[in-house]
Amino acid sequence: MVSALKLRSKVVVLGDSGVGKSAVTQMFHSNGQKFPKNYLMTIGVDFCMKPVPVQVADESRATVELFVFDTAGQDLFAEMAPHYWEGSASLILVYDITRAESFHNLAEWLERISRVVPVESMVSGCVVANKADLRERAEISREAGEAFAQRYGFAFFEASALEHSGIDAPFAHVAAATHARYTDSLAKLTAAVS
Amino acid sequence: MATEIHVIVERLNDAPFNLKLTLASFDEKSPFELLEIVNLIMGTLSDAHRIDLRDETPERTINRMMDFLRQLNFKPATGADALQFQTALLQGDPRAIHPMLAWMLVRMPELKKRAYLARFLTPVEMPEHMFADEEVAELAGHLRELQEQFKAAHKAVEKAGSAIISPLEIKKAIVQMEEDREQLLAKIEALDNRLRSIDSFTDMLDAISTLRQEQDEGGRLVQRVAEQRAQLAHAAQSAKALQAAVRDANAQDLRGGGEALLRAIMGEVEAQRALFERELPANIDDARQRLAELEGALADGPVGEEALREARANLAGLQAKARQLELAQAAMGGDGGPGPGGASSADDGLAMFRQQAALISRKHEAVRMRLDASAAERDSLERELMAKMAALEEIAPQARSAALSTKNDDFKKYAANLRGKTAQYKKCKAALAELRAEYGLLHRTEQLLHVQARAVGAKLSAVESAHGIVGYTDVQAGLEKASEAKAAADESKGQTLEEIAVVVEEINAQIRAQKGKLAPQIKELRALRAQYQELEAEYIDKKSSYENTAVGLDAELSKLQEEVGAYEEDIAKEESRYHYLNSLSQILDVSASRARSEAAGSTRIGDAYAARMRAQEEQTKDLRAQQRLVKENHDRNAGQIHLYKDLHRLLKCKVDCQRRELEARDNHALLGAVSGANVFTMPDAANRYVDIDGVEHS
Repeated sequence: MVSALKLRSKVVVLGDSGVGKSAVTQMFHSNGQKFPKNYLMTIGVDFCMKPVPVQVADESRATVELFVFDTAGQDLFAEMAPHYWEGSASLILVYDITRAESFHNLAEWLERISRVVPVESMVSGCVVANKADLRERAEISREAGEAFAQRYGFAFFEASALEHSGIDAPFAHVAAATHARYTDSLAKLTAAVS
Repeated sequence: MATEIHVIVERLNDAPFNLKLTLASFDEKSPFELLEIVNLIMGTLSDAHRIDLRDETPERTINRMMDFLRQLNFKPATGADALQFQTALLQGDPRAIHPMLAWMLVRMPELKKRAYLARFLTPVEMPEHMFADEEVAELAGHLRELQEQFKAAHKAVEKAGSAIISPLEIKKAIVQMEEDREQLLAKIEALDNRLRSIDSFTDMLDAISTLRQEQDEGGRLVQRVAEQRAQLAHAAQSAKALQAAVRDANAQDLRGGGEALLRAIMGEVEAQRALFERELPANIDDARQRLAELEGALADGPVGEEALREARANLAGLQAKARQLELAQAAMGGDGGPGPGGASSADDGLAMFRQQAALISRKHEAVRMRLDASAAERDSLERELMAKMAALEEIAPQARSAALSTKNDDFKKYAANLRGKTAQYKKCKAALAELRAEYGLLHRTEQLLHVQARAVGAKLSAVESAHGIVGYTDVQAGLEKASEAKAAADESKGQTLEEIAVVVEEINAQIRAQKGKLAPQIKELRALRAQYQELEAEYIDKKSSYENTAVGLDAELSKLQEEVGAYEEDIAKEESRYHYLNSLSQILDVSASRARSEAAGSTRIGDAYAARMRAQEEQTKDLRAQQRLVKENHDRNAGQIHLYKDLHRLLKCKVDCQRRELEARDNHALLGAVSGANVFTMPDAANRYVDIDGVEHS
């Protein structure tokens, strides 16, 4: 009897205040049921867990349980946030395409988390360009976002929490990357043992 | 009821149905199957009912069956009227169908005849008023007539059918005869065998054969006696007839006409005799003389030209003589010489001589022609001979003598050979003639025999047809042929059977030998079997115990696996929960450490937040003030914007005008240079532009 493979991964969501981190996270967690219509500042951190099934080549099933830490973007909580980042395996950077500042600050966020967990040691990372529904007011082009993501070896996604489009893609990417890393290391281990 | 079903099943199992039913299977038939059986029987009774029941509606079927049953004069069981019976039939009720089946099956041949007759003799139902039509009435009458005719014809056919001996009986008779023949043959053989054992058999046989011959001879003699008797009777009859004729003649004689006739005949005979005695010998003598002369002439050898001329002269002389004689005769005739009979005879002789002379002259001519031809031929041959001689002399004068001698020998030999060949040829020819004669004879015989055979065949067929057994001989011949073939087949079969018997014996012997060989092994095998059974019992015991254990273990295993699965799931859940809680605890830890740090004296978030709120409120205140200012100045500023916009438009318009003017001037200068005539000059406008410009700038 083969029990379904279950992996776990800690994911942190970073980005400026008001870019829609909490909206993205909640939409992901609730399968598009809960869009926070009013802005509610995240105090410290919001936490949720969701199992994500992974498409595997063979017949065996695999799920990756994502423990999502939606940390506050307000510089008010800048002191506390690093504590929540400890032990994270994956990283999701969110910016608002209508606010160029939020995009430019991504580098700073990266630097900050690198002090806690080196980005190179992370399993995976992605950049999410949120508020894609406001494309006509966009200040940051998709190409710029893609270029940034590529520079750090991250995946790039466009998403709209309001329209619930492209929300699951970054999380699915993280889950798939986690699974790939697991199977890789397993293969390496078995090779080393034998 | 039971006997009825018995009868039905029995009849259905016989020809022509051969349904192979049992009582039980017949009893289990469904209503539809029963109707199918009824239909089958009706189909054998009449071709009109050979229909598949599935091809027509049940109502139609029942109507058809009811009509047919009415034709057959079938009456349903007492106490049931036709309508009830019809419904029962429609439902396939066995209580209605079984009696009907029994009734039909028992009377099969009778019903078949009835069905056949019914087809033709059932009166056509027609409404009364239809008879008013003349044509219909006529047709009905015609139909009745035809039916009467049919009845008569049918009766005749039946009578004929009962009168004719069936071929089967004939065959039987033939077989009987064959058997008799075989028995007789056997008897003869037995007798023969018995007689052969007697010593004086051959003598007896001879005696018997002579006896037979004598008996045959006696029979023949009797026959001949009868024939001769018949001939005698015939002769007597003819004698009677002749006597009657004689009597008739006598009667005529008595009448007196016969004497004159006899006299006339006598006279005639006399005249003939005179002619025979006097004239004919003279004629013959003359002819002989003439013949001698001619022979002499011919014997003199080839008639030369001279001889011919001589003969001709002779002829001319003779002719002259003849003419003289004629003249003399005429003179004598004129003198009234001898009687007319004598003169006529002389005349006759002369005519004959003339004829002969003509004949001879013709012969002469032919001979001369032949002579000419011969002379010509001789000449040519002589010439050829000369040529050949010359050639011969030229070729070999020295070898001539030797060649001549050999040639002579060769020639002799050749002549002898030729003689022999001729004799042989003659012999062969005689033999051939003989054979030809024989062939002709045989051919004739064959023809005769053919004719006889045809006559016999015709007679035989006539006899056959007279006895109503046409083709009997053919049948017999066929039977004989068939029996011969059968005998041959039987023989071959017998041979094969013997071969098979031999083979079987061989096989039996082999089997016996093998059995002998196998006996000790079988003994051993028995012992081993007992052992095997013991072992098997043990094995089965062990196996059952093993299986029991295995089943128990399997059950346990699956249970445990289930448990393991459940536990694993629990573990996964617990792990998830642990991680969840761990995360929460981490969060709480952070909060706690934060709280502790705040308690230790660092800035509290609340304070920081409040400070920020305150700053924001101040900012809000500033902004409100700014808003108010904007609102107050809004109308004025809006008006000013409007004015500025107007001004801007005006200026733009001016700029445009000036540009156009400038362009026009450039064009004009261009035109003036080209044509030398100032057509579109607007100096005022140019001045005004300057003016306006000046005003604007001021």
